[in-house]
Amino acid sequence: MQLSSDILEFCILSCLKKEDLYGYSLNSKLQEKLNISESTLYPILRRLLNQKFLTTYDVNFQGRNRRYYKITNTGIKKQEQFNHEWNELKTNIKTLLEEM
Amino acid sequence: MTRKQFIKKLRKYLSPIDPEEMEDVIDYYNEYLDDANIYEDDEVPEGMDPKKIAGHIFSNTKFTRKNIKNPLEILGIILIGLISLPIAIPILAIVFVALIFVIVFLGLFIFIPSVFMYSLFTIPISNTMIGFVGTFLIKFALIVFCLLIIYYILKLIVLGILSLFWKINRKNNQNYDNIYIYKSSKSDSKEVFYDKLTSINFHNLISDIRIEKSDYNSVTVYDEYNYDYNDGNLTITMKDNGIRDALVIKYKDNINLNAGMIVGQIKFDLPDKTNSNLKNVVGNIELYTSMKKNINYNIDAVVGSKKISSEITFDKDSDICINICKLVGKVIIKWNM
Repeated sequence: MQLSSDILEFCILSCLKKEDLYGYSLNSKLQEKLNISESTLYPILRRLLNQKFLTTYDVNFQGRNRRYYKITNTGIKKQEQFNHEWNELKTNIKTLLEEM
Repeated sequence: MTRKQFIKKLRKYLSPIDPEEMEDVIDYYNEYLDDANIYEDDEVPEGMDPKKIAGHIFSNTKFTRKNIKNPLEILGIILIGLISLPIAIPILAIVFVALIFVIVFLGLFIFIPSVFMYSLFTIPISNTMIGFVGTFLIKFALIVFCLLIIYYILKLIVLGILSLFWKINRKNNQNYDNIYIYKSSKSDSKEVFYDKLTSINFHNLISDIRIEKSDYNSVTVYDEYNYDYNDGNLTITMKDNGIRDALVIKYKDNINLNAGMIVGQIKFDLPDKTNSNLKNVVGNIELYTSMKKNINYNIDAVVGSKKISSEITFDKDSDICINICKLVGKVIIKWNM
């Protein structure tokens, strides 16, 4: 089953709501549970940045740069909206399957 | 594929986009590979396909993409640009004179060989040994020879003009990749957000305009335009002669649109309630509706065609009211599911 980009956005926003993460750590976290490829994450992060749901800041790590992603207030609002929609979808699908 | 090869290929596939945006992507992947402890000559994971990554970026990130079909279209754009400027008249005069010179020049190129050919044809070849058929064959061979020369000269001229044309275009710093020009909309524009946006007025603009439904209200701001905002009403007019990328407006709730004197394409995702007027437009108007199928549309004085999806019905009492008047271009109303 393929994950829609909305659901991936929801997952990313939820991960970042808990803590700020850099590209690799976020990808590993998602890959632990979901089957996503390395090419999917960047465009979604870009889109979230463009929509001002995320911001970035750079941290020096062992002489090189590490870019951290941080959720904004609008991003938190979006995550809450997604959360609400997700719960609704979950119960709807559950009742649908039970009725079958 | 080693990391070195991966980055090289990624650069190649991303070459049509803005260099700054490309560096952003490259930085991301370099950082990612550093964190994954993959060095220059190590193999990258199998899932990391540069072609796929570039494809994802093209399809998921917004680039204003211009589609130039043929050189004539470019010539048209240049001509429109010239006409819209006051200094156009002397330039047009110069172009006109130059055009006459070119025509005379080309005429001579055809005229001289034809005269030459004609004289060959009438040369009295009086060798009785080859007879009438022989004479005819010699003349025929000479004519074919002349035609070949004309053909190659014309080909050289056309190729010369074409290469000159591309050279001039390259000087203008446009990035041609086959037929597309990707121009980053990020470069010197910014997006401004508004809490309240109920109506937008456009006047005297040379620009494509896209109005999209979104979760927030925002407008792209360019230095070349004047923006005047007052309690939900936004007025945009042109300040300089600069022609810019598309103006993108995103709205959250309902919006009214008033546009007058526009040269450019207008794309509008219709809200569930609007009263919009579009007057004096040169360019196509495309309206997309995903909310309702019944629309109160009034289209008057249009030089161009009307294309209205079969799902759309005209309804005098609809909440969506669109008036289009004095248009040179197509009107498209599409049911967008």
